[in-house]
Amino acid sequence: MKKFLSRLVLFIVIMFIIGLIKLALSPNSNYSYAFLNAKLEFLEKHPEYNMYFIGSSKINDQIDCKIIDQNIEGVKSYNLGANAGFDLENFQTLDFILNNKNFKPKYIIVELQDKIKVTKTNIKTERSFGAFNYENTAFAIKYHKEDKNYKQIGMSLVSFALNVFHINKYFDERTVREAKNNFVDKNQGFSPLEFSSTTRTEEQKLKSVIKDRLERYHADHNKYTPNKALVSKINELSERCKKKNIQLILFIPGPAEPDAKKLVAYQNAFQVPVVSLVDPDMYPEFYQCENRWDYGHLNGKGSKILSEKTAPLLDKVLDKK
Amino acid sequence: MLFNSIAFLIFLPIVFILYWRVFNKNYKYQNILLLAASFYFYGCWDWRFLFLLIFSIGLDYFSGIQIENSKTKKMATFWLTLSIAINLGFLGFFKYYNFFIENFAELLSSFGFGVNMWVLKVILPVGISFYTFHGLSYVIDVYKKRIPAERNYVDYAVFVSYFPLLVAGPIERATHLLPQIQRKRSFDYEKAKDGMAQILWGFFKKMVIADNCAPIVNEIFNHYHTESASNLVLGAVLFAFQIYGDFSGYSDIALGTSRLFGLELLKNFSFPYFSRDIAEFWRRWHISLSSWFRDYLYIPLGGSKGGLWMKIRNTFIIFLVSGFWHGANWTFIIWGGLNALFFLPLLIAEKNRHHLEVVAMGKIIPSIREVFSILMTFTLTCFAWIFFRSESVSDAIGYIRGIFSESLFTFPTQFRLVLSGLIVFMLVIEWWNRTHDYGLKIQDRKPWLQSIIYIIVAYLILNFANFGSNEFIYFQF
Repeated sequence: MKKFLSRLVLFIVIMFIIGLIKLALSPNSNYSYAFLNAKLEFLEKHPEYNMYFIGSSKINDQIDCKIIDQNIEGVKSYNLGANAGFDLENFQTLDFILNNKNFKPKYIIVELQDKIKVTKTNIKTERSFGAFNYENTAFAIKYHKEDKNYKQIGMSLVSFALNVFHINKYFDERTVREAKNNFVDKNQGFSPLEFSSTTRTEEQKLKSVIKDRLERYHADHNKYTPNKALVSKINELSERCKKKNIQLILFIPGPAEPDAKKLVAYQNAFQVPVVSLVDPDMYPEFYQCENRWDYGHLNGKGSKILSEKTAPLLDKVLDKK
Repeated sequence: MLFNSIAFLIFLPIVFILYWRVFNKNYKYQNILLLAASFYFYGCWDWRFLFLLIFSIGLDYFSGIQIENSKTKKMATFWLTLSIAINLGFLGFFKYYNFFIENFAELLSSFGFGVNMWVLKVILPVGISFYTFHGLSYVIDVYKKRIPAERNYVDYAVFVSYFPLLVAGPIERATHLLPQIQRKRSFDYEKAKDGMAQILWGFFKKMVIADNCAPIVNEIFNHYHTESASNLVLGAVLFAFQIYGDFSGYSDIALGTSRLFGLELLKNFSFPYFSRDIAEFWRRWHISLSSWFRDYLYIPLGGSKGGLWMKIRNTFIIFLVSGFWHGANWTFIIWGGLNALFFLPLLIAEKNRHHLEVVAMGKIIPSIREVFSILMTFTLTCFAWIFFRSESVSDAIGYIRGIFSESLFTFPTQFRLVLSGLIVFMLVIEWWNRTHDYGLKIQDRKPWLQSIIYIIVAYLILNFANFGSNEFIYFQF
């Protein structure tokens, strides 16, 4: 019995070690969000795009690149957003682009978030994205250490271990590829929520949630300080971009999350410009029910407004040399 | 609880440790543990049907004793008939009630009688076809005096409800499993290792092959009117691998799991797609069901003792009943009938026991003649699978009609290179070990080679498997 159990444990350990080696040899090989992969494959073959938007659903479902192109001269942009893409996923996408010569962007716009949170719901998503490679896990630990969030340090380590095996990679890839790839070459990567499987939140409920979220936003008088690990990570990425003659710009799209004031603290923390449309007082249209799809997202009409408002702000900070 | 679920991944080690560490002093305690674990395993699906299972066990247990205690043959026959009638009554109600009602209503309406029949929303209890057949074989064996009636309720209940075989077989015989339950088991490292290897191979076949074929097969069968002929052919071929991966995978997991507890179950599959004719295929596919029908239906009907017509009649009966056993749909009956038709020429020519040995015995590759025979058999099998998989007979006919069109010579757009590679890998491993009990039985190979193959298979599972909740096809039967 002892022999059997010890051999079984040894087998699992060997499997894990092989996984660790594989991850070390190709840190992005586990990156398998099929929709995003398809977008990246498309972009590799289309060097004419010179501006990439990287971020979560707030980019994927809200930034209409055609509108951006119409409003900024000399720009051909592509939406590389991916639903549930938080900091780690975004940094991994950026890292992948910077390490691959086939991508030729002049500008990369990355959604600024202060979010590395593994929850019971998104632990599968994190794994399916495969974002917890060595570098990102080390960063996640530093980030949570700064906030003294030891539970999240533990969750990050669990995510790393799961990422080594990366269960369901192939299935997730295929499912997403089949469901979403329509938008890869249409609309320059933009996929408005009207075409998604997410149903629109019922109007009364939506109104009450918007009201509640705005109240919480205005009631938040905490004095936030930027997370040093995040600042240093972004500065490091901006240096890498500079070396490749790429301008990195950070972007905070509306509508604001209840804790969006955290992000205001980052406004001047980086070596790169931050374009923000998060202030509800400056951009009240993002909080009108007719422009919204659900709790956190704009609908097609709202996305058009967001894209139109974003373009001139971006134009201002672009280094067009 | 599904074998391919996290719950089972927790359940199995707990039962295993308790079985060998806590209850190992006495096999009777081990049996109580197995019974409790089996009831829990079944109850996880739907606890209400646990009562049906307990009733069915109690009925056959009691009937067995009554048959043995009967002083006259008439009395014994009464108890046997009662047990069979109640068992088949439950099976008939839960599985076939709506089928008979709907067909009866259709028949009446074809004679101009419009009738409103009572169609019920009957939930089919998982595994009812399997545990009913366990019980039936037991009471028949007691009646025929092949075994004595079991007097220990726990032992008998373990025989029927033993969790590895409870929901999708193999269909066990009391003569085979009960004696194992009634004696002391001791842990055997080699057996446990063998069991783990078989479980690994079962997971590979189920989660890598079957679950990856499933979405493509579903897509093709659901939209057969719009798919090209080449895609339709591909769909039938992939379904053949899906159902093989699914069901033989389940059997491998069941047999391997049982071996961990020191109990050997009946072999259910023996590389059926390497068969050279349909008769050989049926000696290698769902062996426990085929042999059940042979022993409890074909032989009592006269078997092959009578003349040619008797043999043909009996063959058709067992194939049609076997088809009907799979489900209450004409598609299954036609599937059974087709297999009987394929079997017929072999029966008439008395070549149905022509290929009893393993194909290409002692050779690495088969002869051209063997390859041709294997491909022919596989083609016939795939053709019959179209009926098995289709929702209705008209769908199956539409599907087959679709195959005979010009687009047969186009490239199938649903072809997936990765999946094809995985299927080829499975076939190569199974061909390599075709003389063994299961595909990954490689304990006689060099230890380093064993380790490499286990690691490759485990890695393929981790990379290509779906750890969701994909049910096994045979759960519905």
